[in-house]
Amino acid sequence: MRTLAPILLLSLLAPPAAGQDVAEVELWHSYRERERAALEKTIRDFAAENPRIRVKATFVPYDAYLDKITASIPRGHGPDVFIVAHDRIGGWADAALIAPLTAYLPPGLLDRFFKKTIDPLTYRRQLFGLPTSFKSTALFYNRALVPEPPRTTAEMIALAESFRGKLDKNGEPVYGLVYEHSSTYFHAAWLFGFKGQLFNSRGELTLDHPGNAESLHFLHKLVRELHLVPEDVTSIKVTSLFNTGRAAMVINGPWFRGEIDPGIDYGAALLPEIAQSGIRARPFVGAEAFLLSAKAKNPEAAFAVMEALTRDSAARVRCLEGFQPVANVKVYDDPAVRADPVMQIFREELEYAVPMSNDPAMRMVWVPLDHALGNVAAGRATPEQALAEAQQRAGSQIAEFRKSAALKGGDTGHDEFVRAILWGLGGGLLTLLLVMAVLWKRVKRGFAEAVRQRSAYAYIAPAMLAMGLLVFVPFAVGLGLSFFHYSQGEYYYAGLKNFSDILSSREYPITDSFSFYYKLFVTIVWTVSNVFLHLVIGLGLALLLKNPLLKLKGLYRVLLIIPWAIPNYITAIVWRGMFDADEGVINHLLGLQGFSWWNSPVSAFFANLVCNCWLGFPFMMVVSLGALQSIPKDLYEAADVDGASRWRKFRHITLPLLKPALFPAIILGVIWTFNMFNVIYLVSRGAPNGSTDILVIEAFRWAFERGDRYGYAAAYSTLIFIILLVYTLITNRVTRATEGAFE
Amino acid sequence: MAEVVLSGVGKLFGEQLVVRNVDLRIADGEFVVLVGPSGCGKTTTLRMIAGLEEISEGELRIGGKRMNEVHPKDRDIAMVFQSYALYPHMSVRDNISFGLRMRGMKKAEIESRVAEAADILGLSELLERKPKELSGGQRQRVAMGRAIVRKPKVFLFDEPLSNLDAKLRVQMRAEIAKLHKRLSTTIVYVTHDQVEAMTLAERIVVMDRGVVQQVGTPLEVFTHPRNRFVAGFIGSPAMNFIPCELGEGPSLSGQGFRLRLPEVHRAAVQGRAGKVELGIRPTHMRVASEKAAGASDLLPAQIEVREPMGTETYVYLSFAGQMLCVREEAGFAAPVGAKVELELDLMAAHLFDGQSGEVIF
Repeated sequence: MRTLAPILLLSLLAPPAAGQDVAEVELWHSYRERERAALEKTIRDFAAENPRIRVKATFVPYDAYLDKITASIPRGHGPDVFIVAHDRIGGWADAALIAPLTAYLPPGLLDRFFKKTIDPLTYRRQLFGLPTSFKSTALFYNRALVPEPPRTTAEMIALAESFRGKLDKNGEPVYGLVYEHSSTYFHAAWLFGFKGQLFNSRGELTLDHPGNAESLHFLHKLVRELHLVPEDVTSIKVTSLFNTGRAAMVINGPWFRGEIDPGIDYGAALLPEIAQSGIRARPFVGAEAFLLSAKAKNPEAAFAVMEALTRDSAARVRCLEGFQPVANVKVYDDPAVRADPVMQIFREELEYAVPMSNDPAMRMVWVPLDHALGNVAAGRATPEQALAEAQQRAGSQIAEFRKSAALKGGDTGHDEFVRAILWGLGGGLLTLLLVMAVLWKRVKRGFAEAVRQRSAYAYIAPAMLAMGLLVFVPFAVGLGLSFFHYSQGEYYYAGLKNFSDILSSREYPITDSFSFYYKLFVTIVWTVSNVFLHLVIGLGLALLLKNPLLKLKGLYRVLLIIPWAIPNYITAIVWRGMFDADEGVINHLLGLQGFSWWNSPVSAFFANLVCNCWLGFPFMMVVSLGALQSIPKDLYEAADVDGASRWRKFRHITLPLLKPALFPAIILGVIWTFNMFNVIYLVSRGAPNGSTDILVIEAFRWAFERGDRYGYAAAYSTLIFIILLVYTLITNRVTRATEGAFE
Repeated sequence: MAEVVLSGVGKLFGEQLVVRNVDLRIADGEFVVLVGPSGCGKTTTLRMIAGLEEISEGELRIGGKRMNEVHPKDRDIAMVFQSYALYPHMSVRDNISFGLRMRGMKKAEIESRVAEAADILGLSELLERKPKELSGGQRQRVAMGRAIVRKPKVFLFDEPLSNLDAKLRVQMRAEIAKLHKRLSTTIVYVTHDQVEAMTLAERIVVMDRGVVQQVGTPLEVFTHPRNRFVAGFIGSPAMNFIPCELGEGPSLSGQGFRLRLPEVHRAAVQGRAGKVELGIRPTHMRVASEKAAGASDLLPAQIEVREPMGTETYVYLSFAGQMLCVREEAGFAAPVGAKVELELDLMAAHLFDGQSGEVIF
């Protein structure tokens, strides 16, 4: 087979003889702008030379990209070839989503790539991809502020310190160094530079390695002791500070070049040498590569495309036109590429960089380590404590993962997924039948009624169908999923284990912020405080707006409804910005510059609360206003004559008469707030350490951030549903008792 | 209990003076009815007494104390609203006791007062019901119960019976009258229904366009209206008005008739002449018998409608382009369309100035 491959390849690349079929290869990527244009140009070049293979390139937005691949390939309608970063390779190889390339490789082909870009593509001694480019971080600096980039961390610190207290022409502070210090990806350079490690040679997790602790001490020094790096940093902030000349140095990757304002004269340099360890900082390097789908319709043709698009000539186009640090060695000798000093820096940085692990276990390291970094940067924990906690967190998740991976090899398959759905649908149907049996008399009457009202039911049939498809089916699938355990593309029946694990808080102590009960507590506090404030603010404003002496009422009413009319994620992002420690308007107004709201659970919760109150009060206001206007004026006059004070009129007349309108509003408000994903996800982002996350976000994170525990996440969702169902049943009963005061 | 005195009271809504210069002294324990067509300012006047409207000018005194700036709750008044304004979420008991509870009265005292009021109004069986479970008349009684438990100095009624059907209205009217006899509290009562006014009031205040037209006992305003408006408003069926010319004799002449004024009225018309209006109630006219026909003091008219009421018959006749109403015997049988002549009892008639509407006699 191995020797056959090149021959097959040659025959495919030869011009087509008459009547021969054209092979179609579907290629997916998530490249944008320059990178996309460059890629498409290489595909056009390929098509010109290879009429027998038609490449159909499809752009998929990055947000949905990985999930789409995971979901579509097993069902046989995914891409044949796709470009991704290498870190998912391990999981996908285990799940047999991608095919090893070894069989197709002509000898010597790999010589065209840097070895460091090949290693990350190798998993269990098999090669799974041909690299397009590599991405690591480097030091960018503003030439107007930094004449000579630092060579050591000592120089870097001294240079950064020279900006202390410096203001730009608008009176805004200028920072010496800005980077996303609480992100594992960016911190990795220091971590490996201090000779730390994430896994040891046996593949065991070693987050508590002393080198790691040293690197965290270094982080602590940069952020907490010397205050050289601002506390709250996001990628947007890095870009905006650099582009406004307010960041002398930033640490960022090659994509940053596309974001730099053309007016900024910048340079790039290698990350500095670490004074303590005597070696250079060693950033993570990730390789982007063409992978071959295990379900490719024509793997030979697909490989031919991969091979052709990673040739030096194609790589040169991507390098020069797409600004990509390509994986091809020879491209860097090209005079045009030589003329680009930044590209040369990234090529040089590759020498020091550490390839990111493609072990699936790596995916369980990011979040716990991010939290550890955040805790140290915020001074909440010593590096040792923080790392011990991260080691425990990631360790238990990896252990869970490995345990479920060990399930593999049984007689399972994707049938299990179908089984999951059938379980859900069957369970739903059974419940329905059971309910019908219990309420048989009513059901019979209902059917008779339905037959009599045929045409009415015909009218609502389309809506019912849509509801069924959009609500009932996904709900049933979710319900079914909660009885299963997902591992590497396959589902295993788990019975009630997900539920018992969650409810017995098996993996974490009850007081841990990862436990269900902790989240439930946060969710309840969140819901109660929000709905209470929405109601108080909304009702208060409604009472003001009702005042007959108030002028411009219509205007106020419109203005006060605006928060409701703006999509809430936009509002949430704006509030996140306003709560920024250094740049946010709130800290400016309060004189709290530098105070990070995300460092303590209380202040982060408060920030979420403020944002959600802003979003939530208009609804209550509108409902209250409508209800207030329906209370007859003479009731107040009667109460005046009866001698009721202002407060007593409110207490004995307004409130009781608002109840029928406010009750449903409160029930709705509680449900919305209980499941308010956007605000918390976008404002506090769960910071610190997920302590402000609520149940619904936790369900999301279990599914997508902690090792694909879809079943566990589905069980979380089911529990949320049950809680809200019970709540609604109880409140419905209560409301029925209060409804219809005016009838 | 107290005297209510309005001196020069007026109310401005924006630029418009809707009540002007009301001078009224309501004696302690008196039942006074403000009556007039809608928009005459009667309800506004009542609400000013209650303190629900600010008094724009003039002064209000209750029990000798100036009340203009006093909050409704401190005026010691109770009011029954046209809509009853019952608190829909409270039981009858809570509705009635609300005012007492707001004033922090002792529980036992509240109990006994509610029981007493319920007993008077026949509500004892209904105390635990909600307003929506009551009939119109029962609601009305609850509204009154709410007022009487307070034992206020003054009761104010704002068209309390207008939402009831005719039969219930008559019944409740009697009950209110009884209630006043029993409690003998000062009552100010607003209505647009002159029958209600006549039957209930000790004194009637007739208002029109924000101005008090006449104050007097029901009989006074009925028999001695001060002007054409009062004359037309009070009495049912309404007084007939016949435009005519006051001339020599003295006599009244108009289209097809000439009437000599009786001796008693001569002094009143002394030195007057010109346009006047003759006002005469249906009871003071009758269809002339054939014997009298052809006499000089008769009005020629044609029967248009007969309304037999059982004990009497109202006959509507056309005369000189207008309708006249005449009260006749129950057995009156002249056919519709018949041309007849009307006999007038000028002794009981009134004469109004054609311009000002002021009464001449």
